[in-house]
Amino acid sequence: MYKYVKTLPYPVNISKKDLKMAKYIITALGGPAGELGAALRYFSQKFTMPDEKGMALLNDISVEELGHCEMVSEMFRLLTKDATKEELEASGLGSYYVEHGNAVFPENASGYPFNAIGICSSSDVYASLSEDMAAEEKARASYESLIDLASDPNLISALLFLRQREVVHFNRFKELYDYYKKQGI
Amino acid sequence: MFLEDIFNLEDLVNVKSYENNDDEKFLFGNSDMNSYVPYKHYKPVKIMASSQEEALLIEIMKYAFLVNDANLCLDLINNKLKYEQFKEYVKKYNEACSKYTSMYGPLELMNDSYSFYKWNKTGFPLTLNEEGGRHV
Repeated sequence: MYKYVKTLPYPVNISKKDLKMAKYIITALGGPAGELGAALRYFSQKFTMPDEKGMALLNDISVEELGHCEMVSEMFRLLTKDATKEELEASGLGSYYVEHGNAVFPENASGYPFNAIGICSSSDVYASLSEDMAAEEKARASYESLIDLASDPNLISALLFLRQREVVHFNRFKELYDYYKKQGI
Repeated sequence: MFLEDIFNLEDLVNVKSYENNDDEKFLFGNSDMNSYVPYKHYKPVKIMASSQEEALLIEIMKYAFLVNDANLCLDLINNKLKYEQFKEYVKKYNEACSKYTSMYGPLELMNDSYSFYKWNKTGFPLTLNEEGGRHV
């Protein structure tokens, strides 16, 4: 069972519309290195982890990633708030408007919808954990590109927070990977 | 047997971040600042509360973060000091949540039996001062 808490993991205080940034930032939700893929990847993998350590870590990080999904979705909502269809079209979100209006939809920055074919869930623990470490690194790199393109200090702060979480998750996955190797699992 | 009994003495070492400031850990997104990896010259802006309600929410977010980060470590290691930290953060989180819910309403559906009547009156996630764009 999951319980919903109304607080975000970190404040998202965006008061300025920025449609170009919205077009880019949606990839942090539904792109190949996005939070939705991360949450589903770790959630799926936890069931076949070889022991409680692995199950616990995968479970807890997947839950944290769901919180990040909500953060990124809220960013998108605020960045597109009160945008007209003309403004959306002028900023390259015309196709998005046709399909979704300004609702949140998980896709990458090029408009390709989220697809679980891009995530690994294998009963081979090393295949899964190697993918997890790579996924965290890809997400870190993606957040760095978004930070480079952003100008709002509050948005940058929230992106820095999410980027740092990728660093922390990578370290935990690496520790688990090394532990299993040492155990000869 | 108490949970503390399962910890070894050597687990008491190597918790490098114990003395770091909790606000800083939250702001930077890493409860072990020795493993913090900066990006270029960027630093997060200080989180400022514009009301008592917002200050309480930020406190709740901070302790939720610290509980979660300590928990990820405890998933992998038995470390008594980290476990003591975890317990302290849980206590502070619960205190902040109780204070908030008694003053402003539920953050979780099951906070109290009256929650239902207030639950759907605020955002999902909670939004404050929508016009000003503050969302915590």
